[in-house]
Amino acid sequence: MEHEVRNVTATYNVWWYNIMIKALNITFEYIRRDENENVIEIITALDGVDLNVKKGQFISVVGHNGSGKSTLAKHINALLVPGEGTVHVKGMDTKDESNILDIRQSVGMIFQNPDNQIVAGVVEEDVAFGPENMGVPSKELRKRVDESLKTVGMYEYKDSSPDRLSGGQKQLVAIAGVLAMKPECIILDEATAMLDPGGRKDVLEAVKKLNREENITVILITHHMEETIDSDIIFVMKNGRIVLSGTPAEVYKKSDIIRECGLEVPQAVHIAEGLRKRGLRLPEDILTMDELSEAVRTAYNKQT
Amino acid sequence: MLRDITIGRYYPSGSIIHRLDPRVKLAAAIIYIISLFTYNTVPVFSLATVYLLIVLLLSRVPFLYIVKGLKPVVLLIILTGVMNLFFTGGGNIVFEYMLLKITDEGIEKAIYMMLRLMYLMIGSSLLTYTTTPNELTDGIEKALRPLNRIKVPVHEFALVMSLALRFIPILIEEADKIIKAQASRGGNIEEGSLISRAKAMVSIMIPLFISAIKRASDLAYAMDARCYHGGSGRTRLHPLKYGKRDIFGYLIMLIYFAAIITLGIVI
Repeated sequence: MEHEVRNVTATYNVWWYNIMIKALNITFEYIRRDENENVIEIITALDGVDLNVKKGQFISVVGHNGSGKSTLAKHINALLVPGEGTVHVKGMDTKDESNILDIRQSVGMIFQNPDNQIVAGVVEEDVAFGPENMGVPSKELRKRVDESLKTVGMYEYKDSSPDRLSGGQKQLVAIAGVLAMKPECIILDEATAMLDPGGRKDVLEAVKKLNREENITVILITHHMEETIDSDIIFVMKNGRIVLSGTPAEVYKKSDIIRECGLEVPQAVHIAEGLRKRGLRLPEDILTMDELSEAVRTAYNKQT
Repeated sequence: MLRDITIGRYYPSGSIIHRLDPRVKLAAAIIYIISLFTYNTVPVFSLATVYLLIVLLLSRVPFLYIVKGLKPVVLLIILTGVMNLFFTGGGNIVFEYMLLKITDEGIEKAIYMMLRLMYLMIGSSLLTYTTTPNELTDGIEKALRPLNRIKVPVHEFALVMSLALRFIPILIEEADKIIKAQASRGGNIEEGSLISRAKAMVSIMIPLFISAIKRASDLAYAMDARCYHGGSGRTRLHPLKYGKRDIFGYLIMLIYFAAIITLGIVI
């Protein structure tokens, strides 16, 4: 009997071994009511979304305002539970209350407004907030706080007040706060939207480094296509549905669909497309400016 | 203009005062405030001044910073002074014009009252300059823990307070922005009659409230996402433990209070 039980857990673990997040057909509605509880309006934020994320992947979810991308992000962290369908994080169902703390520990979330997610008045105390809630003993806490601040390069600011930091630095502190919980996945819910170009670059670089070096799964939610160039898979959302998904090269090819969603393809892709239309022979997989200039140079040399 | 408000802001300098247990500092602030209201005599106030100056020097918070913090209450202090100056009866009349009478007792009372308010502000802001909001709430939470038995939500109360303190500077900045945005479109809260100024104030308060509610909702999500589930099972980065210097702090506090009482009674 005991043997059998162990076997079941074993297969369960194998099944989920490589899968971080599995969302099946999730639907979520915001319902507005008047004073008499009559429904005025139903806004379908998510309409049958499927999402599979493997461990260690770098995923981007792009979409225009109101496309449902932030609602999707909140489902992965069990901040919202789907009206229909299921979300599993590492095999744990988000609908099951007893899983919630485990899920939130495994999936950290960075929000858009840097000010509204910092809880404490001192950087290191804010970083400690997550693990404090988890009940990590004080000695281990100290170690985790120092380590995560060093990882994002904010260790020298550990005693200062968050009010004195720039937006980008505040987001790095927020990332450190999530790292201190030792997550396996980090969601950035438009975390770069309110930052200046410098801060945006710092935050993205920090996240890419975590993905590369610590094998942390990253889900980047954004409306800047430029930020998605390095991701493994891009999901494009419109009106609560995923309308397009694939590797960056695959997705950027369908620039007409992307424009229909109110988004822009990265500049290099856009220019390459224009040049191709005017008869210049360029390879199909151009994503960055460097690749573009290289390709143009080769094409030019061939012609002359 | 609003940016200058420094109440509720932490000033990190790592001084000995900063390193004291927050419970000691809380008790010290309360005792100090009580001591200000005991006797109206020169020796008592001199001692209170010296005591405050010593703590101020020890805390290594710049004097200018403290003075800036007084700015928003200057009006209140002056008003209190004026009220006391004119409406205190008794004593010898020093100056008389029509219905206005100034007595020597009034002058004395006005000076004491103004000093008292100023010291009260400085003393309590020294607490927030040298104690992070988290430490402060930890201290309150621990000091009030016995109340938990009669079902007072001590942890929640402490948390709400620390969050309020943390958001003061942010909301001040926001109010500043809104005022400037209104001013750029011709709004004016600094001129005009009292009624028109009050009306102009509404157009500042409403966006401010909306943004505060939005921030609160964001913050609730952010706290949930970081596994917040109430006070049970929480550990601390800096657990509160009394050390030698804290006992020393309590001792100094007691000596100070005893000295105030003695000075007040004897002289």
